[in-house]
Amino acid sequence: MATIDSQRLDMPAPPPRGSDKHPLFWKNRGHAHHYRSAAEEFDACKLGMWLFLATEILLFAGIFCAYTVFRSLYPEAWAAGSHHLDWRFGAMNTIVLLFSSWTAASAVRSAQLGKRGALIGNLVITIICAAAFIFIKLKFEYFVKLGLGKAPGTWFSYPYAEHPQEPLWWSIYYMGTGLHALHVIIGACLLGWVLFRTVRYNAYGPTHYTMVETSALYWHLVDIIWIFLFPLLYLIH
Amino acid sequence: MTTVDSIHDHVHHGAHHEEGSYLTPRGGFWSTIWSWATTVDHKKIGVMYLFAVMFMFFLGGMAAIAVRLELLEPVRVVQENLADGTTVTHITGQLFAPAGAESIDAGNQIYNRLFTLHGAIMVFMFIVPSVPASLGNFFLPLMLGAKDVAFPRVNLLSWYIYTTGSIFGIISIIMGGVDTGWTFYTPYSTNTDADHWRVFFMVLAAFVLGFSSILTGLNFVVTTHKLRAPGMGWFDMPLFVWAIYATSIIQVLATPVIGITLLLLLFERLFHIGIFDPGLGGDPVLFQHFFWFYSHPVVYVMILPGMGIISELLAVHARKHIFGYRAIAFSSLGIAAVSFLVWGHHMFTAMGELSSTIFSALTFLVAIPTAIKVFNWIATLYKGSIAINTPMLYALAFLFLFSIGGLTGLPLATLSTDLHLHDSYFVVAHFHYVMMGGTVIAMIGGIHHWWPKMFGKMYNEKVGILGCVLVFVGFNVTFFTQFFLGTQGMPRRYASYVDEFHTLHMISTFGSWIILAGFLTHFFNFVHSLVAGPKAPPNPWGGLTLEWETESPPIEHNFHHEVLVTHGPYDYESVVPPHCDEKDFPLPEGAAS
Amino acid sequence: MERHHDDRHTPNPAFDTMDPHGATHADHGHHIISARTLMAILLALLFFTILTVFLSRAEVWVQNTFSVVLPQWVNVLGAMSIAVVKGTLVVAFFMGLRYDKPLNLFVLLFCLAAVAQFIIPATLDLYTRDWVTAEHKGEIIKGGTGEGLAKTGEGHMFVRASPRPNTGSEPLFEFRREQRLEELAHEVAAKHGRAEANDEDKAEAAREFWFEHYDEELHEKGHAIRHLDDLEDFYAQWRKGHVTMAAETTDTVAPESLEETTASTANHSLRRVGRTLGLFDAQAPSPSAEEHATPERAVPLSPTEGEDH
Repeated sequence: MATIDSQRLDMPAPPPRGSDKHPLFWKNRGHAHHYRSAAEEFDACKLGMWLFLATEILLFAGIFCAYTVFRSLYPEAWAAGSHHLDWRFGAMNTIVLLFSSWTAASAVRSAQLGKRGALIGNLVITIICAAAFIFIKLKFEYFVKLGLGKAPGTWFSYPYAEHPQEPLWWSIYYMGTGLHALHVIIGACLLGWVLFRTVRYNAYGPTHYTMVETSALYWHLVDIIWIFLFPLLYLIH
Repeated sequence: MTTVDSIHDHVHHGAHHEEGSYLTPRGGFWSTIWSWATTVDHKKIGVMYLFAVMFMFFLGGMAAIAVRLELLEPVRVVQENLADGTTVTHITGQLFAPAGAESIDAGNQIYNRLFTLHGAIMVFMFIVPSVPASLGNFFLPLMLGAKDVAFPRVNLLSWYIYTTGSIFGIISIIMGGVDTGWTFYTPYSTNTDADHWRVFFMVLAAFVLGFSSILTGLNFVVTTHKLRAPGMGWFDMPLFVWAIYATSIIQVLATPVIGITLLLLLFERLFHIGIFDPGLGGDPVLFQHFFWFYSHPVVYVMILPGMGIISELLAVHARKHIFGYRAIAFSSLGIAAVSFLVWGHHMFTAMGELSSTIFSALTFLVAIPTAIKVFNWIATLYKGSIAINTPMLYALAFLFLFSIGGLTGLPLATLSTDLHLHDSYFVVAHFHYVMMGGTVIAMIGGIHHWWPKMFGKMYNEKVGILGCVLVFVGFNVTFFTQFFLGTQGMPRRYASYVDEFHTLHMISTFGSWIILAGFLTHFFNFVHSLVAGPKAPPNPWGGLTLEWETESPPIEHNFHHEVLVTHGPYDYESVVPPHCDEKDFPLPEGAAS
Repeated sequence: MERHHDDRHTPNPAFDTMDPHGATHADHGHHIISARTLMAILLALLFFTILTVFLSRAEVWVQNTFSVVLPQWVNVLGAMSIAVVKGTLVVAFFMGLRYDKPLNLFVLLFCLAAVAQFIIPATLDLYTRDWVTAEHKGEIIKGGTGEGLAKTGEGHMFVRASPRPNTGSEPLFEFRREQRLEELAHEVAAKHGRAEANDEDKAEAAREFWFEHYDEELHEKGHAIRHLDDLEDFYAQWRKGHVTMAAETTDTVAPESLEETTASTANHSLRRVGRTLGLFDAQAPSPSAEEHATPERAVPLSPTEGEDH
């Protein structure tokens, strides 16, 4: 490391951030030394992201499996539980996420076309949608339900339940939507990182938009999980 | 015949030709430490993993020795009539009971913790990352002719996640250990030891280690797909790479499920959400389904890389083209596919009758790809020019032990015999023959095989052979007796036993000391090799896979030139190995060179 | 013995020998999805969202209006197929898998196969656990008992953030109901200036309990019910039944008459709880399904009732 440090001392001062000379500016981006071309690196990153998304789907498969098992065992409790959820908030959140998925896809398109302004705009809207999703979830669902005692496991204190397994329904509900909300937050952070680098360094453009693409893929996955959670929790009764 | 074409020298800046090996220190002591801690070089990360998993192997091994010591004698409550007419009660045969313990419970508690520690450390911290993360990390890019893995920084991240997880595990051990068994079955894991955080830390450790495993697997899949050297098609890859590839697929597809399982378990333990508690409508058997959906495929994460090593060892040290290359390659993928279908055989006595029957039938499928591999290996040896050295002896030991392990799996897969044998020492012996007789034996063989490449030093062959013989004999003495114990009805996980089992248990414990002696022999052999071993040539065994084309130890960027693959990994009949003289490795009559 | 040498000499076509580091590969040549397509997909997704909600509501409406019960698979199949269509649209267009390398599609398909391999056998096992040979019938039950949380032995201090109720052999939900009833009885007693709640207080508390429930339900999902009159009628009847029962239980009441009092017919068109009679089901609901909705449900409503037995 010492040698590298001394090399650094010899180097000229780095160009200012955001300038055309900065190494993070998209036109200046090459590829890592162990790839043969930038295209190969892009493909590898995308494959890696898809494999990661596969692991995410399998993570949620645990929740879906528990849901399926308990639904098949206790259909009455599941129907009763589903009646306690308000489809309007579920539908509202679905629309928020679908819209944000569209803006995320448009962000990739903007990066591919080199439209920096559109890229920033789309990312900002996507992140606002993420915040809106979390807000609706907390304000109109979690807080209200927890206030009424519709809580998971032994926290359950809602006095009008009719089935022994209703606490279990709420456990699945909170685990599923909570884990999903966590992924919404992670996805928003990723997109925020992309936004930061776009604003600060103008880091993404037609020849280099790997990070935009992979973050958007992650965001779409969050959307897909919700597309399945919504009917399972709110509509099937 | 050259296999490295010096194409495009203009893109290399000359520096590559002078660069030292990856082991060459950079700067002073602290800078060297720093350069290792922040390295993205797959070779350094592989070596760091090797030392870490070996340390964990040592910890788990010590727990195993302690377990065997406790079982040396049965626990007896002895009443002694003294001369003055009073009666004194002793408890004998309890090695680890706290001083002055009144009842045998205290000693039993310690025994429970010991075997759990042995299992949890060996499975989560040693054997799952053992071969893929150490030898795989080091040799997968080399064998593919790549400069690094696809995502070097993710590779380093995976190492740090592994370290973090191991630290959580060690915290749990220091706090007093866990008594749930390595499988964390509910309700043991949700209700026992409840006034302590140590179960929490051990579960957290396994949860965190899962992410390390996922990232390693993901990295290797992408590396295999995208970074093969020009000219290397899928069927020009060494079989070790095929095995690691199949392993990585399992890691990517199965490990997330243990993530969610352990997350739910932590929530169940800390917040009592009821998913595994029948009192709230949940189901403990659901936990077993969740757990084994990961942990059965992970059995193949453990054994597949070992099988890959054996394919390499047999071909190189018998100087034969591997028999049935494609059969072995596809059987790796076949095992990966089947591994997801058979997890129910771990819970035959917990499952319903219908699903037990289905899972029993599916379990027999595993025997097909496994047997294909074993037959092909044996056929490879036929008429080979077999060199009797440590790696080859380990490969032969693997064939012997793994076959026993595999065949004893069949009575366990059969429902009617499993009813008698489940949770007995037969099961213990079976999976030790597969896990230790398979993976560990293959790994030690692999380490001997690649030691000269990794560290640039030769080890002492005679001492290596001595160690191998000790391990092989000790292993059979320890575990073959356990088949008898199991069929006679000795249940697993008990601290004591009836007197009839005393002799067999004693033999088993003596065997564990022989294994220990064998491993110590290897340890001192390796230390001696590092300190005073002769310098290793680039290709001491005459191997044809790409890692033998570079220096020993490899240079920082792996190869001096872009690699262009012009021959298969096992073309011993037609190719003189790189860096080797034709008179040492003569080609058969009529072969074109 | 020169095997396959001709094809091995050919380098990977992706490897451009004149430009090994891809300096001139400025354009990836990746498909850029048109804004029009993206908008069309968004509209399709919104349409399917509205459709799935509409179907679900329509089903409730049909059941309420015509007093029929549709079988569950109608609901499940409808909602899940629409979800699959929506997911496919997102994967194919927003995630660009339609224009992408087939390898990424394979990753997704393998992943979904693993999900199926996980969920199907696990559900199959837990659902068929009680399918046992005749001689073991009755020994094995399906699922958890839900029979309550007894405190484990002394000295076990659980490191748990959650409450640790000791419900004995009672299910948690009944325990919580009794807790609330006791709370209300104390409040009522305090209102009347008594230290201990007497039977009258308890009866009043039981009435109060159902008033609370009524208000909450009306507040929470009055909107979701098409006929508000129905709802009010339903709760009026339900409340009446329970109040009558609570008043009556001061006398000794045979369980049969309890059942008559509490079994309101009003909720048949509103709450489809459990496997009630389906549109295509031939037989009457099994007695075990009935059991659930009747006397045991009512028993805890009257705190005095337990003393009579």
